[in-house]
Amino acid sequence: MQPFSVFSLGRILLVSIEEDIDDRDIRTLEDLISTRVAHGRGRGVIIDVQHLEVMDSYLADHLHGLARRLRLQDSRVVIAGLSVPVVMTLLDFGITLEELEFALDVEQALVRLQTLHRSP
Amino acid sequence: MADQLHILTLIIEQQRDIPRVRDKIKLLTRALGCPRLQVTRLATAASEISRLLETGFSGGKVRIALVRPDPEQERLELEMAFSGRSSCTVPAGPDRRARACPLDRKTLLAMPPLPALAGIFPSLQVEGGLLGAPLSIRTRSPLQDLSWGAELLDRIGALRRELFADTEESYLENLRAKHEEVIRLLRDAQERNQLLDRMNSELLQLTNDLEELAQERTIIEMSLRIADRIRNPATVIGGLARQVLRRAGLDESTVSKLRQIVSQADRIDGILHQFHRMAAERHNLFTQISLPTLVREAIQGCPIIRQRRVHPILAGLEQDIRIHANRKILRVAIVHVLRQAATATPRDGRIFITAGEEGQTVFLTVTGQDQASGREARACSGAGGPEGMPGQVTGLTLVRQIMAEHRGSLHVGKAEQGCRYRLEFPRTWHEGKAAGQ
Amino acid sequence: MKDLSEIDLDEGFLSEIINAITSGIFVTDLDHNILMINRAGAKMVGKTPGECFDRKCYEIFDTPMCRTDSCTCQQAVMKNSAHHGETVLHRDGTEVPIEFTSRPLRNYKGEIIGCVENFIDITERLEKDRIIVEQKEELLRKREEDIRHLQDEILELSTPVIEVWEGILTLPLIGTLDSHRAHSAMERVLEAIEQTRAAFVIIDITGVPIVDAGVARHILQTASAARLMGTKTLLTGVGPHIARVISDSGINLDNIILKGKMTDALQYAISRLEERKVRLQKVSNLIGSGRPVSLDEE
Repeated sequence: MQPFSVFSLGRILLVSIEEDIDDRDIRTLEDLISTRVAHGRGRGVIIDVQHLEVMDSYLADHLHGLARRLRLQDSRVVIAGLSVPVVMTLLDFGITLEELEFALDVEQALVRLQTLHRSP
Repeated sequence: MADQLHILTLIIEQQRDIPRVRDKIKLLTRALGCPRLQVTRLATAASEISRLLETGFSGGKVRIALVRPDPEQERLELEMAFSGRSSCTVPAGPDRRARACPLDRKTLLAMPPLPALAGIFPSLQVEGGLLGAPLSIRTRSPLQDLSWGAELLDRIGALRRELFADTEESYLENLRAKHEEVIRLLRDAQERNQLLDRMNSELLQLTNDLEELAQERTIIEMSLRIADRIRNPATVIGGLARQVLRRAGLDESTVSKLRQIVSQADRIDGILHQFHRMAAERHNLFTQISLPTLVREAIQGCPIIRQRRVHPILAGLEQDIRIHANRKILRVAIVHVLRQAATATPRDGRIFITAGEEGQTVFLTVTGQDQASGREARACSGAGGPEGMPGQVTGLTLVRQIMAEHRGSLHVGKAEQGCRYRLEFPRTWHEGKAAGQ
Repeated sequence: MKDLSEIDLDEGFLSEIINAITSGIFVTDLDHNILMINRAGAKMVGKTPGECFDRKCYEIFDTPMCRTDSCTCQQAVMKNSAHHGETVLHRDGTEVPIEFTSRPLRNYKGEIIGCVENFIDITERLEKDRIIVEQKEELLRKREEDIRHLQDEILELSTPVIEVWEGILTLPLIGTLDSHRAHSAMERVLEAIEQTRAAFVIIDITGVPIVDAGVARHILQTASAARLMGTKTLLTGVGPHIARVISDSGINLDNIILKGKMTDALQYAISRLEERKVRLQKVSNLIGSGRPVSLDEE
C-alpha cells in the first residue's frame, strides 16, 4: 500500500500524500513527479497534504527541491491543505518553503495554478 | 528521585523507523489528551531527532516515559529520551545531506534541528555526540489534565498494548524497561502491597512468556538473546527481594508476596539454565515423516482445543503425504498455529484443517472461525488482537523461523470464516531449492 | 420590689447564682488546692464539683501553663492584678480551647490568699473565626481567577480577528505588541483563516505607537504563516516614519503587500476576490462535469 497517489486532471497532476510516508517513498514520489512532468504530462502539480499531521524538514526540503526543479521546466507546484498546527510547527522549526505556492484546498489550488499560468 | 512511568521504547535503526516513531508519538500524545498543536509539535520533533540519529549517529533508540518532576505536585510531563548508538559519524549513501561532524559543543548545538528544539521545549538536555561519546537528547514537555494515580497506570497499560511495536528488538527493549521498573520499585523500598502485586504479576507474565518459548523450541536463537538479557535483572530482582525479606517488621502479606517474587526469580533462573543446556545439545534430526500423523499428534498436544470444545474438521488427512522434517520442532510449530486459530474461534466452534499437495508443494492450512467478522489480516498475526500478548507475536515469529528451517514458508491471511494459516513445504529437498516465499 | 442591698445574701443563695452562671469559676489557695468550683467549670473538664474539691487545680485542668512559671494564678498573684489569656484544657483526651481571667483573692485583712479564675469555652468562636478566614481566602482566590480571565479576554479583544467581508479578515492591532501577544494573534489568525477560508488578511497597525524591528518581524512572521495557507497579507496604517523603520531593518517584504489606507486595502482585496470567485465557480463546474481540467481553459 503506497502512502501516496497520483492522478491526472488533464495537464495537472494531483498528488495526495498519506501520513506514514517514509524517506524512501518521498524520494520515489519526487522521481515519479519529475518524470511525468518531463514527459510533458503536467504543467502544474497540486500536492494535497490535508491528511498530513506532521511535516518535517526532510519532506519540506524535498518538496522545495522538487518545486525548484520543476520551475525550470515551466511547471508550478502548489501545496494544498496545510493545517494550522503544521503551519505553526513549520515556523517553529524555521522552515519557510520558498518557491512553493500554497492553497487551502485542492479547488483553490487549481484556481491558483490558473492565475499563475496567466501571469507567472 | 522523581516518579517515572515508562511507556514505550522504540528502536531507530533504519529509515523506516522514522515515520514509525512519528506515528507512535502522535498516537500517544493524542491519547494523553494533548491539544492539536502540541501533538504536531512533539511528533515533528520526534521525527527530526530520529532522523538526526539515523543519519549521523548510527541510529539508536527513544525511551518515552511519563514523569512527575515534583512528588508534592500533580504536574506531569512527557519525557522523550533519545540515545544514539555512537558519537557523530559522517553520513554515507545516496541523498544524505553532506555534513561534517562538529568539533565542539557549540557547533553540535547548532546542528539542525537542535536550535529549533531549544525554542520548543522548555526543558532540553543534549549530551555527548563528540569525542566518542554517544549522543543523548532528552526533552520534557508539560501535560495538561492528567493526574498520577492507579487510573493512569491502567491507562498506560492499555496504551502500551495498543502501541506495542511488533518487532523483536522493541520487544526485548520493552522487556528490559519492564525490569528496570521492577528493580526501581524494589530499590525504592516501597512495600505497599499494590506495587508488590503488580510486580508479581509482571514477573508471572514474564515467566509464562519464557516457558512458552521454552516449550516451543529446542534451539532458540532469539530466546538465547532474551535469556541473556533477562538473566542479569532476574538475579538482581531475586537478590533484592531476598534482601527486603531479611528486614524486620514486615507484615505477613508482604512477606508472602516477596516470597512469591523470589520463587519466580528462581524459576526464571531455572528456565534460563535449561535454554543454555538445550542450546549446547544441538540436535538436527530431519527425517521423512507423515504429515497427517504429525498433525493428529499436534491436535492431541493442543489442550486449548479441548478446553474451548473446538471441533477440528479434517480434510485431506487420509492421504499419505510425506515431507522432510524435524518431527519434534515441526510439531511445536503446528501446535502453536492450532492454538492461535483455536483461541480466536468461539467456544464450540470449528477449525478447519486441510492438507494436500499442489505440484511440488505440500501445504497444510488451519483456518479458525473468527468471532469478529472483517478482521484485518494484520490482526491474524496476533499483534493488536484481543489478547495481544507478547507471547502470541513471538510465537508466530518462531513458526516462521521453523518453516524457514524446513525450507518452507508461513502465510497468514483472511479467509471467509476467519484467519487462515497456511504452511507450505517442498515435496522434496533438492539442493538449493525452497518452496513458496 | 426590694433593693438588691436589702436582700439577705446567704451562702446558699450565692451558691445558686454561681452555679447558674455558664462560664466556669473556681477558687484556689496558694497551694493550688481547689477551694470552690461551680458546676459549669467542673463540667468543662467532664467532672462534678464534688470530684474537684480539695484536688490540685493542675490535676483537674492540665493546661500547658500548669506547673510552670506561666501559671496564670502565679502571674496574677505576682503582679497583683488580673491576668488574661487563652489556652487549652483537657477533657476525656480532647483539647478544649478556653479564654480565662485570673484574679488574686484577698482576705478581710487584704492579704492574698489565693486566686479566683474565670474561664469560658471558645470552641465555637474559634470555629467561626476559621470560617471567616477561609471565606476570605476563597474570595481572594476567586478574584485572582477573575482577574486572570479578564486579562486573557483583554488579550483577545485587543487583537481581534474580524471578518469584514466574505473571504477577508482584518486584524487591527492596538497597543504594544510583545512576542506573547504576537504568537497568540498569529494562532488566532490562522485558525480564522481555516474556518472562514479567507483569501486575504489585512493587518492594520495605525494603533501601534511603537513599531520597531521586533514588531515588524512578528507581523512578517504572521504573513509567512498565512502564506502557507494560501492567504495573502496586506499591511495598512503604515506612515512614512514606520516605512523608514521597516525598510531600514532590511527585512524581506515579499510576503506582504503594503497599502496606505484600510479602504485601499479593502478595495484591492474585494476586486481580487470577485475575480477569484468567478474562477472558483468555473473550476468547480469543470470538476463536477468530469472533463479534464486544463490550465488554459476559460
